[in-house]
Amino acid sequence: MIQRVINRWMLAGVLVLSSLPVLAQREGFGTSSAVSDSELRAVFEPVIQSVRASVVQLESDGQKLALGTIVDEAGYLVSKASELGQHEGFTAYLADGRRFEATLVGVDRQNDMALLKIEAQRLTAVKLVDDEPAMGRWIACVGQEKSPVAVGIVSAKARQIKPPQLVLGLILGEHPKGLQVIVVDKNFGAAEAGIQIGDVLTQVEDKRVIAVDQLISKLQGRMVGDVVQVQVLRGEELQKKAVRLSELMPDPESRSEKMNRMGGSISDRRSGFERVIQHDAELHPDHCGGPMVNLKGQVVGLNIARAGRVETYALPSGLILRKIEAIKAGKQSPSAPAEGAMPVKQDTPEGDAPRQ
Amino acid sequence: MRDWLGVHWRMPRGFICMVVAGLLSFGGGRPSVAWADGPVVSGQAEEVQVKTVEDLAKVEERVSAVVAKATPATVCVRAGGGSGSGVIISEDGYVLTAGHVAAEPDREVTLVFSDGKTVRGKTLGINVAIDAGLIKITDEGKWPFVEMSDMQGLKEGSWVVAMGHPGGFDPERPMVTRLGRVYRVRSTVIQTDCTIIGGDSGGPLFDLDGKVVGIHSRISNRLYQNFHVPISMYASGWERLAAGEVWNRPLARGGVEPGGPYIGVQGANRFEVGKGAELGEVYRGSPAEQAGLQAGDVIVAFDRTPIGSFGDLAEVVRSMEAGDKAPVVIERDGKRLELSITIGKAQGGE
Repeated sequence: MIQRVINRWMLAGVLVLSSLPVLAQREGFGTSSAVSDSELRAVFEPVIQSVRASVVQLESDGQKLALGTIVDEAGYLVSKASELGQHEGFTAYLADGRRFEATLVGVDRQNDMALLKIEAQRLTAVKLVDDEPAMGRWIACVGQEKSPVAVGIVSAKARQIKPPQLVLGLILGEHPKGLQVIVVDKNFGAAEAGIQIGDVLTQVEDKRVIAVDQLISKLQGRMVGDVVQVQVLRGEELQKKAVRLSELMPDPESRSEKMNRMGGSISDRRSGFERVIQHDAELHPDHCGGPMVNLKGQVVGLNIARAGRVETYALPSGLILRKIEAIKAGKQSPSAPAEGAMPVKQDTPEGDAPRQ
Repeated sequence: MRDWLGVHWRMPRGFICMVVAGLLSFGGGRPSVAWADGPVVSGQAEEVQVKTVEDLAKVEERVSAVVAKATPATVCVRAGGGSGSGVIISEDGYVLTAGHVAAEPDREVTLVFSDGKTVRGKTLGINVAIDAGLIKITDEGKWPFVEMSDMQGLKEGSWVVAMGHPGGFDPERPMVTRLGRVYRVRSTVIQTDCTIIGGDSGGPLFDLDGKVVGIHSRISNRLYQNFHVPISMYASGWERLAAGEVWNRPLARGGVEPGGPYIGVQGANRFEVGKGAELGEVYRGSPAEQAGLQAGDVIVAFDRTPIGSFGDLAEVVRSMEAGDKAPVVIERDGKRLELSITIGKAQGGE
């Protein structure tokens, strides 16, 4: 069967291939006893035993959002902020079966890290160990189950992941009163906010804009999903619009992007982190927010994104420790998710563009 | 869907003639890569069982040793506008890569080491259908290299380590390692669950001894569908690769053209020219099966055209149209038979 596939090139025009996944299922790939993923994960059970008790399942309205990790017996837990979405209240299901209402303490926007609090006694907190594992070292991603949810090795040296380019979805030209809209890309926030061709952008966040440079500097430091208040002149009428900032996504039809999605779901928010440990565990995006342990069972990071076919990112424990302190000290914006929760569609045009 | 891994997948274009053997030679004489008699090719020592945490620790130590050994010899290959990977297998700078990374012979390429240092190289031969390619470093020097496995110990379940430059060279992340296991070993392909992606093409797959067992080639939808060219294909094709020869060329870009002529056979994995087209498989219900063709048959003439290789057969079939009738001369059990086939129409491909 494999030969049939690899010979496809050579046999151009001579044969027809069925799709490979169908063949694969017929051959029972993935169930081979010699290559059983579940057996391998089971070997890690003693390693993660003490960490499981610190993993919570965060839900809202009965919907599973992400995992969380209890980092303090006083009830603090850390999770992946963007997976918590625009929900107001969360329910934290503990590994021992108890459940508590969780409130959001604050968010580190850059690292997509949320700090939550539950009012509970007898909690088991992980010890965050500031020790970045080297390339080739085993890591296990811990959920509430006995076996890890995924295992792998450290793939690359720890590094920063640059943020994506932010876009409004407009092409703007000069105009005596501001910036005139020449093109509106229907896939981005400006179209969603009802901005139309011919509108003149006059203000961004209550400040006048007459040059694109000014607009760009106004948007610096913003994140994907942030909502920017703008004022546009349509004919003689001034209108206020709320534009959600989008990531300039690679073309989903491009080869590299298609390839990156071959093999399963990836996290929506997967860039812009200060520092990550890249590993090859095949983590489901819903399992972000849970601990990543080394072979000694030490929590050396927290899974923050499934970034593509070959890569998962974890925030190193050292970074998490610093950010927890910063959030508690109020240095990070505690209102961040509320801002993201603002109504985006204040003035939605007919035939609204699909959201990503 | 399936995808080839090169950042830019480019098929060699317009090779009407085979490149003359010996056109490219470096320093004269035989390459210093010893396939049969040298110490650089050897087998995997023992089987690795993972039942306990102690076993995991042993695997971890070995993977770390592979990383240390492999990193200096694994390179990023910049060719044309694209970027792939490669691995140095001799001190004088022979670099194994994927056929679609080399793309065509005698092409100038830049090789980037994990420390960012770059050297120049030139592409040599390509076994196109197998996706094996070779590069020689043209700068003067002695180069860090890794040994190659004889693949004797490689089987389903064997641990393997993939290295390469997914997405191209990134100084912030100069090498990317993945661990996995072998799903299938065949003479022309190794399948693993070491996940690879564009930019990894041509990069090395190692056993736990740090010996190269394969070269990354292509992927399919599932995470366990990562395909690598077996190192044995480089061994068997070494003379031609080193001589800058391009062989087993496909006859068209991409795969099967829907609506195109179709007979429904697969070649056996032998590529000798001049001995006819040996059939590895005849698909059920295909025009070939209806004509009475069987696996193992060797087609020596098709539509009154002599057939020397599977490529010849493909070329003749491509020149026909659905509904055409053609006599087929085959050899079966040492006897010659003549059959008649009606060309069919290809379905939608993959």
